[in-house]
Amino acid sequence: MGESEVWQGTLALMILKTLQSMGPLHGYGIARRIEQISQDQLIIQYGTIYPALLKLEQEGYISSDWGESENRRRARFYRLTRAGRRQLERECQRWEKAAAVLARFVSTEEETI
Amino acid sequence: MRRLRAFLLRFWGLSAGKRQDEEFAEELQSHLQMHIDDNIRAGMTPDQARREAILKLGGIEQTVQRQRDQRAFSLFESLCRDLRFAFRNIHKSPGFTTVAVLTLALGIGANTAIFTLFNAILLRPLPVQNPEELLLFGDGYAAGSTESVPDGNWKLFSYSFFHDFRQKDTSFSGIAAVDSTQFQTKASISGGAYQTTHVNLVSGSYFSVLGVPAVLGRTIGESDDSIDSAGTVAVARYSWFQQHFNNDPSALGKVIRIQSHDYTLVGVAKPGFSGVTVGQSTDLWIPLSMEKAFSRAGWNGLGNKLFQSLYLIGRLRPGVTRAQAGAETNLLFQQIVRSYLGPQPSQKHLDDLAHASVQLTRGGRGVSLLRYALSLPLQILMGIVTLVLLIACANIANMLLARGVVRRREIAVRLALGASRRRIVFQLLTESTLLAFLGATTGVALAWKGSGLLLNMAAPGPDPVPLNLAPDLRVLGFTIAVTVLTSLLFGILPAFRSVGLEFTPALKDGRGSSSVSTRGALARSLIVGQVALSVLLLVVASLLLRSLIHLYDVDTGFDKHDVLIFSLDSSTANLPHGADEIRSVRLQEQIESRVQGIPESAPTASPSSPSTTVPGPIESSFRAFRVHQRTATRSPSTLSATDSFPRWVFLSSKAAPLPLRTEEPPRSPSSIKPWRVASSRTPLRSDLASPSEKRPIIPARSK
Repeated sequence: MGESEVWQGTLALMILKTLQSMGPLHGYGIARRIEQISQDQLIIQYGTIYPALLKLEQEGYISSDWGESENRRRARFYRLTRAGRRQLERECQRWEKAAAVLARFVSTEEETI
Repeated sequence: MRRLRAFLLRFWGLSAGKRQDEEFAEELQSHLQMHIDDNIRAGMTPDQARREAILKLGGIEQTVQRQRDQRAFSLFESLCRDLRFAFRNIHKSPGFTTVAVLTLALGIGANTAIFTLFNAILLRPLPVQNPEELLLFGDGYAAGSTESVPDGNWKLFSYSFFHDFRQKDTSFSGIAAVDSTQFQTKASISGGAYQTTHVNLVSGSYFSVLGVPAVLGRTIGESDDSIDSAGTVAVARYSWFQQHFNNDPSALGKVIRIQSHDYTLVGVAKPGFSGVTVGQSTDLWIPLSMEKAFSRAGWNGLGNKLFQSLYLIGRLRPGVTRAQAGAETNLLFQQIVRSYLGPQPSQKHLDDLAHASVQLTRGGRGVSLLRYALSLPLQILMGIVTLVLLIACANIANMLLARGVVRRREIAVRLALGASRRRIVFQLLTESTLLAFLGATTGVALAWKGSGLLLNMAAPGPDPVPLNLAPDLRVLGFTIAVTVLTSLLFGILPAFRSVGLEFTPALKDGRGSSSVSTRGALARSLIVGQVALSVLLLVVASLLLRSLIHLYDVDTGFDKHDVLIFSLDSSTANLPHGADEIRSVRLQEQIESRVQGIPESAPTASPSSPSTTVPGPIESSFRAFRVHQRTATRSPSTLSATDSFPRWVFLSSKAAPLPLRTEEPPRSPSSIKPWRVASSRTPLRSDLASPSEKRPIIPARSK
C-alpha cells in the first residue's frame, strides 16, 4: 500500500519514459521494464498498468496497435505520440524540480537537528 | 484540451463497451501468455507459471473492472444501475413507498407553496428592462397623498418636485412618476356598460424609463403629459386588452369613458407587465396630466407644490453608484423642497425639512404594501413549513432504519461478494433521492394549487390578489435544492447504519446482534426529536388559530349582523360632480331617508351572497347602485379603501346598539370630500402611513 501511493502519481511518467527509451512496447513489457529499472524496489501489480495506458491513450500521449512480440505472440504495442514526447519533457522537468526542492528540504532538516 | 478529449472519449466509452471489453480480454490474454512463457523459461511448472502470472497481475476480474472504470464514467454507469435497482426495490414495497412519498409530498409541497408566495411577493423582479438599475425614492411603504412638509424618511413626492428634480439631477438616465394610489373606478368602452376598471396615473416617462414597450400602438409619451388635462389617452394592460377586445388591433383609437371624460386607447403594453405595484394590477394607464380631470372636483394635484402623492422610480446612469445618486438626490431634495416653502418659511417647517431625507431603495422588484404587510408572516410560515419538512425527514429516516434491519442480510451478502461500503452507501442514497424526487413531484403538483389557495386565505375578498404565481427558475431551483437536502437528511444516517454492521452474525441469520442496541438508541432519539418538533408545531398552530378566531370576534362597537354596505358611482347614474354636485348630495340624502324607511324585515337578502341588490323600493328606483352585503365573518373593515365612490353602512335599527354610521353623508357642497372611507374605523387623514398601520392611506382631501 505504501509504495503504490508514490506510484500512482508517477506511473504515467514512468510509462512515457519507458516508451521513449525502448520504443514501441506492449503492456507486459512496460511493466517488466519498470520493475527492472527500479531494481525491484517497486512492487507493482501488472494490472494497474492498463488503466494508466488507457488514460494516456485517451489523452492522446500514446497510441496503440496490434503487432507481434519477439516470441511471436500477438500483442498490443504502445508508442509515444508527438504530444506524448512534449508531455514527457514537461513532466520530467516538473519532477526534477519537485525532487530537488524536496531533497533540499530534507537535507536542511538534518542540518538544523 | 487534453482533459476534454479524454472526457469525450470516456463518454464515448459508455456506448462502445462491449467491443472494447473483447479487445481488452484479448490483450490480457496475450499479457498472461507472455508472462507464463517467461515463467516457464525461468523453470516453473505450467500450473505454477500461470498462478504466479495471475497473482502478479492482481486478478483478472479486478483488472477488467479497473479498465472499465477508466474507459467510461463508472460513476455514471453505476448510477444507472443503482437507479434501476432502486426502482425495483421501491416497487417491491408499495406500502412503505406510498407513506414515504406522501409524507415527503406534504413536506416539500408545503415548502414549495410558501416559497412560491415568498418569491412572488419578496423576490421576483418586475418584467422590465434591467430591473437592477432601477431605484425607488423612499421604501414605497406608503400610499395616498400628503401635504405636510417632508420630515423623516420621505416616500411620496409632488408632481412639481418630479418636474424640478428631473431638470437638475445628473445621476439618473430617466425618472418615472406614478400615482401611489391605483383607482378602482368604472369605465365604459365605446359607450358600452360600465365595468370595474383599475386605473393608474403615470408620467410621460413611465414606460420609457421602465423599458416597457408597446406590443400594439404606442405607450404614453412626454407629449401626453405636458399640458394639464390634455392627455386624454390610455394604454391598456395586455391581458385586459385580450379580455375586452379579443386581441383585435382595430381596438386602437376606441374611446373609453371614465368618470365623465373620454380617453382614446392608443396602445397596449407588452404582455406580462401589469404595473410597478406587486399585488395590484393596472388595467389602464393614463397620463398624470389628467390628474385633475380624473380625480374630480377640489383636486389640483399638479399645481400644488406640496401635494405629494407620487412614487418616483429612477434608472441609474451607467457608472453612477447608488451612494452617489443618494447624495445628489438628498441635496436636490432639500434645495427643491426649501424653495417650495416660500420666502419666509416657519421655523417648524425648516426644522421638519432639516430632518427629512430620501432613501434610495432597489426598485427592480417594484413597490408593494403587500410586501410590507406579508413579509414577516411569510418568514414565519417559511419557518413552520421547514419544521414540517424536518418532521417528515425524521419520520422517513426512522422507517428506513426499520427497513435497514430487514435488508441487513442482503447488504451483508453484497459486502461479502466484494461490494465496497462506499458503493452500498451510494446505492442506498440513490434510493432515498429517488424517493425524495417522487415526493417532490407530487408536492409540486400540490403546491401549484396550494399557493393560490393560501393567497386567497391571506387576503380574502371577491377579487383575488393579482400575483404572478407561476413557478420560475428560482422556485424550481429551490425545490430541487430542498429535495436533495431532504434526501440526504433522511437517507444518510440509515445508509451508514446499514453498512456499519457486523459481518458474520448478519450473514448467519440476518439479524445482527451487536448493533441492535445502537440502532434502538438512534431510532428512539429520532422519535423524541419528532415528537418534540410536532408538539412545537402544534402549539404554534393552535396559537395562530386562536388569534384568528379572536380576530373574527373583535368588538367593533356595533352589532355586525345585518350590516349592509353599498356604494354609488354617481357618474354612471348620469349625475356628474362639479357644478351639479348639489344634485348628488340631494340624491344621497334621498337614498338615506328611503333606506331608513325600509321596514326592518326588508334588507334580508341571503346573508351568504356577498354581493346583492337590496330588495324593495330601492332596487326599482336606483339600478346603478352597487350594493354589498357583508355578514359578520367579513367585517366591513376588510373593504378596499381605494374605491372612489361614496359609501354608506346601514345598520338595521333592531340590530344596532348604537347608531353608528361610518361616514357622514355630505350636508352642503362646501363640506364635500371627494374621497371617503368605508370603514368602521376613523378614516386616516393626510399623513403618511405610520409603519404600524397596514392599511393603505386614503388620499386626503384638498381644498
